[in-house]
Amino acid sequence: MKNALILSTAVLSVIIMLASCGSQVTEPSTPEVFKFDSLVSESYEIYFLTNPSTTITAYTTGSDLSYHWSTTAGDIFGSGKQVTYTSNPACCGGYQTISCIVISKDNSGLKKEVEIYVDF
Amino acid sequence: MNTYFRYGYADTYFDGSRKSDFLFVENASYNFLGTILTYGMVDKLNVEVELGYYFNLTQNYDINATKYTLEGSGLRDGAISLKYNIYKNAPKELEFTAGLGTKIPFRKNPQTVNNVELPIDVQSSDMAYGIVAQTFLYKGFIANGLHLFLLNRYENTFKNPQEYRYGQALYTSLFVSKALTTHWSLIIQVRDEWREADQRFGQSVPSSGGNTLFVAPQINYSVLQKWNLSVLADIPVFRCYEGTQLGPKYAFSLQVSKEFDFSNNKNAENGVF
Repeated sequence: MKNALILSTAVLSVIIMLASCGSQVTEPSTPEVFKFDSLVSESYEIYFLTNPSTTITAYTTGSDLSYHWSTTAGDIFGSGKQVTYTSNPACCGGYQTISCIVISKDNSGLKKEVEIYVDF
Repeated sequence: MNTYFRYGYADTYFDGSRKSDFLFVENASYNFLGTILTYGMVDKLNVEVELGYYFNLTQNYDINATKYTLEGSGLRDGAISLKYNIYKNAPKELEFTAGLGTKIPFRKNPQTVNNVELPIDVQSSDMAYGIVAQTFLYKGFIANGLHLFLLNRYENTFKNPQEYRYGQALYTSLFVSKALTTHWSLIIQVRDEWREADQRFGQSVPSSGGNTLFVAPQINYSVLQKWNLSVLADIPVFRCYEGTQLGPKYAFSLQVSKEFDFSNNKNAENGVF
């Protein structure tokens, strides 16, 4: 009885050991590819009296990305991959360009632009 | 040395000279610390350095019933000028000085917050070099404790790397100073500010430029004939803007000035303001 118990414990230990050794073998990971797929605005025309702002979203793939926003004229609220854009048509109407530069952790960057028409 | 702290506020749009119902920026304000250092180099010639820092330039927006805030801060463009005392007649209490200098930007790229570029209206710097020209005319009536000053200041700023050029500006100020007691004096300033329209990518920016007339009462306290402490309010009394613009409502300043006499002979002969 005692010998059977010792034998079964030893067999069980070997099984556990082999299973854990098997689980420590890891597949080589594929680095996540950095892509800036698209820059999309909710609306490409904003009218001060009806829809004075629009949400612009950067669609990207990758991790540890930083998003840098600028515009030819107007105001950008928020930060990150999604911002809100508006512009005062009294001074800054017409076609305005909003740019987004996405920079990955290895300092490679990609840029996209959208054009928004601004009027009263 | 002249150091001043200034707070300014605006919350009303004007269409030309009339108040407008237009609402984009609900209100705007700034806190600014500036200093002007003037040094007598040689007889009748001074060098003047202007520096300043915006603790904040804030705009609060109301866009479709949603509130937003954008805030910038930083060094304002500096300026360095040479001023020459062209004419001085002490018995007639009459003096005329002219100066020419340059504006120097401390920033060439717009300020960003969380990697988002701030709009032009909350940038502390014009991000461009420029020219500054000044004239100063003084007439005293010391027997009556009365002093008159007429200042003109012209600024021409060049285009910045973002293809934005602030319009030319001309400030004309008339000061009337009256001594009330040995220490106290009252100064009334009437100032006209004319600004040319700005340009973006070579095109005039609509709703920029215009004329504003200010009245600025000031109380001054003199200590030991060396220190001067002042409080002043800046109140626009007339405006005529191009298009629809957010106009200043009021501004307040606290000011400290002191004369440092490194060389008695130099300052006595210099006679430059």
